[in-house]
Amino acid sequence: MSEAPLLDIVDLFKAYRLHRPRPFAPHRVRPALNGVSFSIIAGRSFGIVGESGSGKSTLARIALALDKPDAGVVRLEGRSLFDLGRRELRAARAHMQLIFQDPYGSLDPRMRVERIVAEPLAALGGASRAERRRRVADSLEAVGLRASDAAKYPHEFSGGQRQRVAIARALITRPKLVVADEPVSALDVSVQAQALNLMSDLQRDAGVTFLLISHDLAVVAHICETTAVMFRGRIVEIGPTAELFASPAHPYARELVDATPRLDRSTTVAPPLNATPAPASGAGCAYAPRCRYARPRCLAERPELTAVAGETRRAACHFPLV
Amino acid sequence: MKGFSRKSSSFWVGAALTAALLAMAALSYLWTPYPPAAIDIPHKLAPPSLAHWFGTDNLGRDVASEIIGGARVSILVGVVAVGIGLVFGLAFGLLAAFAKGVVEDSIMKACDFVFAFPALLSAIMLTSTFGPGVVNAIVAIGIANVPIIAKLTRATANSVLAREYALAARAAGRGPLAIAFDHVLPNIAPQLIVQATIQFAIAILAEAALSYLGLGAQPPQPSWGRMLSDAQNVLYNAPRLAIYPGAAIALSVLGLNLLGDGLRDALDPKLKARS
Amino acid sequence: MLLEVKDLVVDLPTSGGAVRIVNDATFRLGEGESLGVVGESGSGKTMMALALMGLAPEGARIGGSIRFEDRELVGLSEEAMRALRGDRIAMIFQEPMTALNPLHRVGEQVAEPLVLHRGMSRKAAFHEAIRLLEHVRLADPARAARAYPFGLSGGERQRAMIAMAIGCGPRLVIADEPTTALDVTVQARILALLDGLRHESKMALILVSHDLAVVAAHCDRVIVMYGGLIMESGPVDVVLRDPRNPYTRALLQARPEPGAKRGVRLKTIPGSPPHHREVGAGCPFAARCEWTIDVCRKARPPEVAFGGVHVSRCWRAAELGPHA
Repeated sequence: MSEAPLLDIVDLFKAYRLHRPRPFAPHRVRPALNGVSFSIIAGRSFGIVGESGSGKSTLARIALALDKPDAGVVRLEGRSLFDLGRRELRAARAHMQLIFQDPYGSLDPRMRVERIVAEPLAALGGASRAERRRRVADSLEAVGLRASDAAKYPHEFSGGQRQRVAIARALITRPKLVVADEPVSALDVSVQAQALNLMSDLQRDAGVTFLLISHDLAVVAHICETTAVMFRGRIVEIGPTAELFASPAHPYARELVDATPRLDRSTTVAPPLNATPAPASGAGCAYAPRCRYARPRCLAERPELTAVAGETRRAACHFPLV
Repeated sequence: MKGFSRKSSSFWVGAALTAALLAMAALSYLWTPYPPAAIDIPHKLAPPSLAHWFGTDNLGRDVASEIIGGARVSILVGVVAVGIGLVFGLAFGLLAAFAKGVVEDSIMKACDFVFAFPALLSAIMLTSTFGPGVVNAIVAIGIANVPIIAKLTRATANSVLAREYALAARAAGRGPLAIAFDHVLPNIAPQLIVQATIQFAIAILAEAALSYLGLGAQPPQPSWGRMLSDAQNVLYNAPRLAIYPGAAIALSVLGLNLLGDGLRDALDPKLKARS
Repeated sequence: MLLEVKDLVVDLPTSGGAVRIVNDATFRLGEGESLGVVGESGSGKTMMALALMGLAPEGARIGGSIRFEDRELVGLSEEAMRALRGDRIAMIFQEPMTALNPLHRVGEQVAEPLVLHRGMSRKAAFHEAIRLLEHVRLADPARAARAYPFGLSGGERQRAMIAMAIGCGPRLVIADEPTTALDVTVQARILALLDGLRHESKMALILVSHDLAVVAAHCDRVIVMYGGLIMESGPVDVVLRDPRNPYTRALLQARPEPGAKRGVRLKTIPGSPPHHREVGAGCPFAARCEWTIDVCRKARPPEVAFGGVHVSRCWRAAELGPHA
């Protein structure tokens, strides 16, 4: 079935310029994205798992055209976002919205909930006040809050409720794609479950496709059909979520899965005691210094994403575990 | 702004003094015991009495009327000079915070440049070049205010722009002007208000200094600074003539500073308590 | 018994009157044992950990008894407490960046307890600090000792804090969410390190965490706190296999697991954890619990014991057997 992907990311590169170590010396650069490509099909939520330094937050921002990449293309429903004019880009934003990690920082403390939730509509213009109020009420009810909550301020709500407000804001333009950057990390366990159930329901009932970015495998596994694992700015493994977590092909994915504390399984693998070594710079696999399966080829030649264990999975490893 | 529940005593004292200052200025338009400029040589240097509550100065003018009249000039200078500072300072500060890069650096360097000149010195240069008078004094003091407000605006605007809700607004498709008005300004308003009261006090002091030097309000317009200068000549005979305007200046400045402190306590922790 | 806590109460003064943060906490810890303290926000777990060290905030009222090495700590003078801290009892905090002074070199900070409690000279203590940093498996410990906190990664800073804590060979280490701010692979290594250190020196560990699975993997015993009250306590595998308290059960069911089927609805707990001042006379969980009966709202549930060491505070604990 050839469907045009909802979101198509091709060869993204991004490096941040740091200050110069000495005057007239070249700027130091911190690479954030080192050639990232993937596609999201409408209706099939996509997860990105990575730790700090993986580039996942940079990826989220570029996917939403909040930051420009140094190279690469981002296409939403076939249209390249960075080629659009300002007005067209603003209109395109109606189809892609964002939920952040921090429910305390993502809502303006000086605005009432109604204005916060209606903000994406304000950018589009056109809706009358009555229409806006109605849509805000619908959005709030869809996330399990009450229409009367629109008159309150953020500080009157708990963390979990604020996150719902943020979700209501993301939904009001009826977007096709919602990028969620660590949407439940700041919530208590008992409240996380509510937010995750809400996201599952929205997937099913409102036809929302999520691009879910998290360090928590369990959260990603709950919502996403396909997952990509990122390490130091590159995708090291990508494939159907359940298979990936059950038998990871890339050693880093394996390390992640083993390190995730689980109740349903006692830890069979003893984690290493030593501190994480600094990553390799230059040629070779970035994970090699820390990889317990590393061989000489790994330090010399950088592996590309190649198919492993069937067509649907790919891993960037010379000696995949599967 | 939700309820002021716990206002410090600074706030109340400062508010009272500032209110008195404003009341005097307003009163000066309606009534003063005598016309402030009315010269009455036979009754010069009279001590305080029922007819003249603070006595008269070396030209027989009623001191009480001059004090009340002088309040008008102080308020005028304060309001307009701070107003100039706010309008241009906000504009430059917001421009710097949003544009970033070379624009931000240039604006900040320009502010540093203006800072390098002691404000009073620049005011003296301006007024001696373009002539003395209230208008020029206002312009000079106003220009000195701009970099202060601009730097504060840039710093606070940057901290707001770093918050996630500003990013959310961008993700929603709002442009920089919308973000500036809807998100940045309401969230930086508390710090700006506090700074404005401080700048007001400084403006009053600056005007008094300029008038003392003869570069501010010109006779027959009453001015506390000029009263101080006039009092110098008769300081041994009638020191009270220096005390009245001096006290007026000091109390006004004190009142505004206390009001600023009180406002800072009332406004800022509320923000922290909320989020 | 290394540590015996009985009816520990911590009250904090607020503008509306005193609020009880920790309510009649009772537990024991033997030499070399590890105890996990699990709770969400508002459970009182951090305040309890601080109270054990005598670090509760100014104005807090501590009641009850804390017996450490047969010495009563409640009411002990600040001077005596200071002699204990860093020497016999040590603490590891959640945020290594803020717990380490950014203006001092890491090695100097690790050396500080040695200078204070062992009377070593600064130079000798610094050398010992390098040895400690090596002991916590930092690569290039000499460089790390000379560096400032911002020159180390999050995981390295946490290792430095652990080195600082174990320097004087404490009998008890209290770790308050030591890995919450770290990546999960770094977390695994740090927890493994703590396990290793424990077995080596037989030091006891109190691990405070919001994550049941972390506690399950690294602790012998667990206490589950909610609204200031210990809801359930016992050996970790018993409590997790056969929970006898609705809150523990609900926590277990609300957790998504990586191996679970995608999209299956998680069993949620409606509402959210209460603020301390909202906790009334009855069970703090009554408003959100699906087993609530009338008495739950009115009176605090009693402790019910199962097989001696497994204790649950619930009016209906007996009904919550494995088949319930």
